[in-house]
Amino acid sequence: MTELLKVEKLWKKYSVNLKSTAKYAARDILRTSLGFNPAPSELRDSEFWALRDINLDVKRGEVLGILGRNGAGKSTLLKCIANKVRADRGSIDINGELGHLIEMSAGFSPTMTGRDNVKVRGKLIGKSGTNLNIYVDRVAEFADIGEFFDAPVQIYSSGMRARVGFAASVFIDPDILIIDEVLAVGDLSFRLRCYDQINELTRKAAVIFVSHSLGHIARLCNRGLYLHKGETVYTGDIQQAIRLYQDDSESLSAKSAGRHTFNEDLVSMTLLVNEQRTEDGARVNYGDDLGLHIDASKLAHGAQIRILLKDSSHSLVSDWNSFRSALEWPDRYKLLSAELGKAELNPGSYSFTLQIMDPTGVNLLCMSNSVSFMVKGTRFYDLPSQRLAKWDFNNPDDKFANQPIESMPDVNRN
Amino acid sequence: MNAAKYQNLHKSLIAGWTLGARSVNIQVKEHMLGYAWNFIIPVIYAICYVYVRQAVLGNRSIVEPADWWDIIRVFSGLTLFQAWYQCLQDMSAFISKNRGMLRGMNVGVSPFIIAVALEASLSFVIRFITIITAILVLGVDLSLSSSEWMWVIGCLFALILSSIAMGMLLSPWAVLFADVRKALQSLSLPLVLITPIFYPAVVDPAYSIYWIEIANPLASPLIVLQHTLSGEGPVFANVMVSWVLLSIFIIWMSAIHIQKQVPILLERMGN
Repeated sequence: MTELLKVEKLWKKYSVNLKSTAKYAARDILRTSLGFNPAPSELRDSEFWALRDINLDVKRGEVLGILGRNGAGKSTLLKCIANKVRADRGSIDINGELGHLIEMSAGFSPTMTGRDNVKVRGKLIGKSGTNLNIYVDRVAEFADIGEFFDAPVQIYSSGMRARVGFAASVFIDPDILIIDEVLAVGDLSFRLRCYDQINELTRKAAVIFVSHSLGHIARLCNRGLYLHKGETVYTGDIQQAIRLYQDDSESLSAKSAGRHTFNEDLVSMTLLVNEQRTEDGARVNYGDDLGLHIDASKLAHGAQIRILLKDSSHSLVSDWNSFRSALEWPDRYKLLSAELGKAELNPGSYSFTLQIMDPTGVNLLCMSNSVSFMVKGTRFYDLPSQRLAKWDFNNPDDKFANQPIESMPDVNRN
Repeated sequence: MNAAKYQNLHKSLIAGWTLGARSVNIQVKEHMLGYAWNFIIPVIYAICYVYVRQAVLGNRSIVEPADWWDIIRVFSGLTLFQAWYQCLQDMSAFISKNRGMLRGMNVGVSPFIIAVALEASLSFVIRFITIITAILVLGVDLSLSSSEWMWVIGCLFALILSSIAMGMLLSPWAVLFADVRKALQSLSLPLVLITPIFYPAVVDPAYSIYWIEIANPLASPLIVLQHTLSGEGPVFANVMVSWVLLSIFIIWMSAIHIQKQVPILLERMGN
């Protein structure tokens, strides 16, 4: 495979102080005006390294996913490669045409129609005559915003603007494509078309992709680069990169898990994995049995207990409610067991929290400390909950096997 | 020039033309009177000038050809000053104004410079036609030789080039320091006052204003224009030619350096 991009020993620094930034930039401008290198390669006062010694190469057909928390240096790396900011040390060799999906709606004039803006964009990327008309038609069709395409952009919703921006940017033919957090655009059907279009581009080009969505990364990428505080932690297999990223996220998640508590001393719990009591932060395999031992001794008789399952971003994945299960409280009670079923979850960091309501379900009595755990395994797509179905092919001799689906008996008919 | 460079230049010109046309289109759409503003303001200034002049001179009516040339000097001076100043402002602000496109698209810096230059040229041409029309409407004799017409066109080029050069020189600094824009706004009136618009040019080196006119990039083209149109010959032509050469040098050097400077400036501007 052809090596289209090679980054060697790349370093990039920024200043955290606004005055210093202006001062250093002014010096750098003067230096370039006099024909010198823009900046000394050492740190100056109030500067820090945003990228340190980054090495990577991307070949045609490869899709490199860059992972890392906020401030890890992902976008800075992309901007350096796209020559939108200047690297302080190291080299970037690009063999081919570079395209990028960054700030896609940039340059859209609010008073011009979507069509006119797209025409201008087409001309700027070198299209003319019939090619330009074909480009505009393709963008209109892909953006799918109907008659609004001929209305001024200033009346567009942010979603419509993003759709037109994406469509106008994606019909390009680069050798290297840089994508920075652009797939969270529009509704589900539009996003699916975006994936298809990106997949189409990845067949012909080398792609570098930045996203916080592990699902997007797992779905699109075949190689991973994990950055932490501007340094490479890992580069190689995408699943391994995701695992390492999740391991780091787990510790952060555990630290922040106890932040949103209320009367947390009222109740405590222990996680059971395959009926064994475990410590906080336990490792769980996909499909293991999960349960909780809850110390309910301080709870009022008849309280409603809600078990909340949250993912690493603290989004609610699922809940179990004692009221729905019609839990009957005995006269004397202490330990309450809850069997929660199998851990049919995408790999990642999760936590259980107890929300205790009074028997009426109106007043919050307690929000407990969380118990976190980590699901291991291979990641598929982005949904946290991934249940197992019982899959079975019908017997070929079965009377329904050779009938078209629509001719089968419908239980709802009559 | 090799084929790749020629191709790049061609692409930049097309992109520059597209951006220039887009900017004109936006201006026409956003302003009800569109490009009419190019001559509305100078006309208002000229009317005010005539009124004040008459009041100061004791209501003496304008009968002498010299009086007409006096008014034409004010009208043409203000008209061209505004175009020059607008180009200076647009060029000095082109990086911050187009930062989204500079970040988001692979078109380079040159098209944005070309776009401002094209728009400025259009503006100068419209204003020049307005001035000639005004002279003809006023019935003032305008019988110029072909060499004099060349000087007149040369003045326009000199004005365009000096405004582009000054704008390009200021553009990186305007991104770094908002004071540059403030300073430009504050200096517009002093610049009008030190330029021979409301008074005739001083061509005697004994006066300090003569040396200020030499140092003022706007003054020499306007003096050459005024003297050529009124049939007095291209006074100050050598100064104007010197400014043209200096402007070309500044544009050339700025165009080379600005490619390296834009990433520094985009970084400075943040997200």
